[in-house]
Formats: sequence, C-alpha cells, structure tokens
Amino acid sequence: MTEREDIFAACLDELAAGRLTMEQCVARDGGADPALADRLALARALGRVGSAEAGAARTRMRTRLMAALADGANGEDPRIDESPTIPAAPAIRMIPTAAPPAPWAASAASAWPALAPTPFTTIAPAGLPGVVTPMPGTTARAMPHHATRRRLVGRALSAAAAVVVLCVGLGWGVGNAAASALPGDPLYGVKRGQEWLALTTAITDQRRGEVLIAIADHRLAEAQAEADRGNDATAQDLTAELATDIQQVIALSATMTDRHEGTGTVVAALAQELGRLQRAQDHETQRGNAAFAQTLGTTLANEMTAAQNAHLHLPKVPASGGTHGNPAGGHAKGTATPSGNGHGKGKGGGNGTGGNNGNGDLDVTPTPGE
Amino acid sequence: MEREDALDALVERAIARDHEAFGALYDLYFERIFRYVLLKVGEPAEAEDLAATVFLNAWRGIGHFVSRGPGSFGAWLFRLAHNALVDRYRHLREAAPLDEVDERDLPNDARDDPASVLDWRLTVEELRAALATLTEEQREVVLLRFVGELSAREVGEHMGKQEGTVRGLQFRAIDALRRALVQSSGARENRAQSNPLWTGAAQGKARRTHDRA
Repeated sequence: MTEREDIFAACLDELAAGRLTMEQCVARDGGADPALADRLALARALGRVGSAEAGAARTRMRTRLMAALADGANGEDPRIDESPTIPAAPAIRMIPTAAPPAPWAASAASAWPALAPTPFTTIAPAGLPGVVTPMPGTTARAMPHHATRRRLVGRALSAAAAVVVLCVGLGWGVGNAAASALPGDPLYGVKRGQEWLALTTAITDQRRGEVLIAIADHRLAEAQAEADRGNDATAQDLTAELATDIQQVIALSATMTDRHEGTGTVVAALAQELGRLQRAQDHETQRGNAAFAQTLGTTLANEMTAAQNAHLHLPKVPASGGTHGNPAGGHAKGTATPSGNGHGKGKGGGNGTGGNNGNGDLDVTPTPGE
Repeated sequence: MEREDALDALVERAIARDHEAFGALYDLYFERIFRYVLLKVGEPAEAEDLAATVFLNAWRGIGHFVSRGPGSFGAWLFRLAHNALVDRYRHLREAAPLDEVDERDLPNDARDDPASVLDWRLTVEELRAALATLTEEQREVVLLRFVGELSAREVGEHMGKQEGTVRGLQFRAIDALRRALVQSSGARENRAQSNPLWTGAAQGKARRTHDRA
C-alpha cells in the first residue's frame, strides 16, 4: 500500500472504532494527504445515501417479516446453503394456490400431517408390491429378464406418476384449504406465507400493487368472518392491516404516476377494493354490527382521502365486482373531501367520504371546486 | 469485543429459530442491505422486495451459516444479497444496470483544489451514475465497505481478497468515485450554473455559518 492508502485506511479504522473524529484524524496526518478530509467526508456521506428510504422500508417490512415468522415460517429449508446463487422464492399465485414452498409446507405438516405432501425421496419403486428385490449379495446377472424388467419399470413409472399426481393434489389442497383459513387456524401460516412470497417475488410495481390489493381483500374477508364470530378485536386488527395494505397501494400508485408509468390496472383494482370495503360496511350496518361498520367506514374514509391527496383518479366500479359483502349494493351517496371529514349520507354509520351512487357504483367524484 | 459477542449470541439464538433474535439481526442489518441493493437496482420498491427476499432466505438458511469469526454474519447476508441480485438479473434477462467499464474510461481530471472539502449530499441517482464509471471491483468495494459498512476484512471475505488488498483498493475506489462525482458535478454546473445538490466548500461553509447564526 502507498502511504496515502495506509493513512486513509488507518483513519477509517479510527473513525469506525470511535477513537478519533474526522478532524482529529486529518490533523494527525499533518497534511501529508491534502485530499484526506474530502475522501473521508465522501466515505461518510456514502453511509447516508438512501437512508430515508431504508428507514421507511425497514419499518414496513419488519411487521410483515415477523408476522410471517410467527405464522409458520419455522421450517428450515435444507436446500439453502452458501452456494454461489440461491434461487429466489418461487412465484406463488394467490388464487388458486400452487404447492406451498418448503417452510410453509413444513409448518402445515406439523399442524396437519395428513395434508403434508410426501417427499419424493421416500418413495422407492423397489418397495412397491410385486417388485422383485435382489437378494443381498446377488449381482446384476440375477436381475429378471428384459420383459419382466420393462414391466417393472412400467409399474414403477406408473407409481411415480401416481405419486406426482397425489403430491400435486395434496399441495393444491393445502393451498386451497389455506385460502379460507382465519387467524388461529392451522393453515393460516401457510396463507400468510403465500402472501409474503407473492409480495416479495412481485418484480414490477404493477404486480406488487395487484398483490397488495389481493392481500387487502384477504384481510377484509377475514375481518368480516371474525366479526361474524364475535371476535371484534381480531376484526379491528385485520382492518388496520388492510388499511396499511391499501395505503401502500396508494403510495405505490402515486410513485408510479410520478414516474409516468401506467397505473390503470392498479388504480382499477384499488377502486374495486374500496367498493368492496363500502359494501362490507353496508353489510355490517344491516347486520346491526354498528361498531365494526364504523371501523370500516372510518377506514374507507381515510383511504379515500389518501387517494384524493395522492391525486388518484379512481374509476367507478360496478357493484358486481365484489366477491363478498352485500350483493344488493350500497345506498349511500358520498362525496370525498380532502379533509377526510366527509359527509356521506349513507347509513354506514361511519364518516365515509366515498359512497355508492345508488346504482351500486362507487362514487368518488370530488366536490366541485376542489 | 462486547458488541461482537452480543452479535454472535444473537446469531446463535437465531440459528435456534428464535424469532426475536432474528428480528434484532434484521434491525441491525436491514438498512445496510437495503441501501446496497437500492444502489444496485435504483428502484426503492424493488430494493425493498429484494431486501425482504434476502432476510427470508437468511431465515430459511441460517441453519447452514457457519461463523468464520467476527462480522462473518454480515458478510454472509451481503452474499445472500448478491445472490438475490444475480438471480434477479438472470430472471429479467437483462444486463446489470451498472455495466462494467474499462479502466481507461475513468475520468482523469481531478479537481483543481484537492484540499477543499465538498459538502457531499448525494442522491441515489447521482451516486449510481458515478458508480457506473468505476470498475466492477471498485464499485463492489464502495458498496460493501462504505454503503454496506462492512469492515475491510469482511469485504475481503466477500470478494475473496486479502484484507490488505481491500485496504488499498478502497482508497483507489473512493478516489475514482470522487473524481467521477466532481466531473459530473462540473458538467452539470456548466449546464445549469448552479446545483442545489452539489455545493462546493465555500457554499458548505457559508451554510454552516448561516446555520450557526
């Protein structure tokens, strides 16, 4: 190393250890390297680039990560090692689901062994009925003749195919069963794991937005189911989660708009989700669950305000787009205001700023003059 | 040493599938991993996904982690991040955004006054543009050593180089980056006369004086 390289490296060590300040280090150098201070300043500045984004991301992703771990990501995947590349988690379709990846499958296996797919490695054709197993000590010459061997190979392949069909079927079954799981159910971890993987493997912003909407929709359905069971606290928590998901979609859409990227699909999905939220609120009101209806109304109001503040132009959504909620559609005429203190006339019980225009369409038209 | 012991203890607990310990490791390393990935891909949303993938993979594979001394867990995480990036590029079938450049492409003109200290306020875009002018090796050292805040030994472990080699390389890398940033700043200043994100020593000093006042 040259003298300057050495001085620079030594200063970095001193700074990292907190033994010297930058000024002290430069002073110690005595001017041997006139650019030392600038190099150190640049090195320090590099540690701050992207800090704002990193801080926000850390908080956001921590909740999801810990939820995924708590919900069942306990299985250790033996395929992961320190090989040059680690394959990314496979893309998981939300509905219908594919076979769950190893950690979630392991979780499901422990919770519900009957549904756990059998590993291929435990299926040996030689163990099948009718298969002649060579006696110990015999050689290849002791094997059956060609016709018999072909028949045995055929049987083994048939058995393997059957195992494949069985595994795929079981995996699909686990995924499907998990799709309707609620918090506390054995397969709920699988469901959350699938969501997590789908989100982390969404390459494009558009896909990410769609996945977030799908996740928000899951939370809404779960919240309604929990409210039906009388688990109001869980329903409130799930509603808060769905609100966070929708806010992320709104933020994502705004970012995409800033980058002049097309947001049509994401915004349309967002509008549909808000429509479902509206219908869920109506449904709960009709059922007499005023507290939960109010929670949904408040959530809807906040999300509508956020969407407006982000200058998103939400399209009108047909009432038939929902998968749950009140099929009769809403009956509130609401107008959104930037303040969020809306004046919906519906009987939702909340301070909903968005409403249903009576034709079952979500009306998010801003108040004239806004 | 205490910090290293505490870190080792956390890693041991995480290997034993302790969520809380893994959460603490996440808190310690997430931002560094995120910024490293962000400077590679440029998009915060994508960087967030990739950083999340890194930690999910870390959780899945932590049973295979073998400590090679203080700081080796950080180096292992960065290797997972590197792997995730390689995998991402492979999936996208696109060239890495930071293309390799030849040494002869490096900017030669240093600033007139080497002793002045710039007020380094860099955006992700500016830094990515400057990094693109560095060699692959220099770029990796900058990202791991200064953005990822790994020690020279950890960087060496990651890159398969001796610590002493990294200590020399980091100087040349920071110098090349400094020249690239100055050059790009100069080009911008020629175009726009002033640059709010890039101020010289005088402006920085004036600002500090103003702040004190």
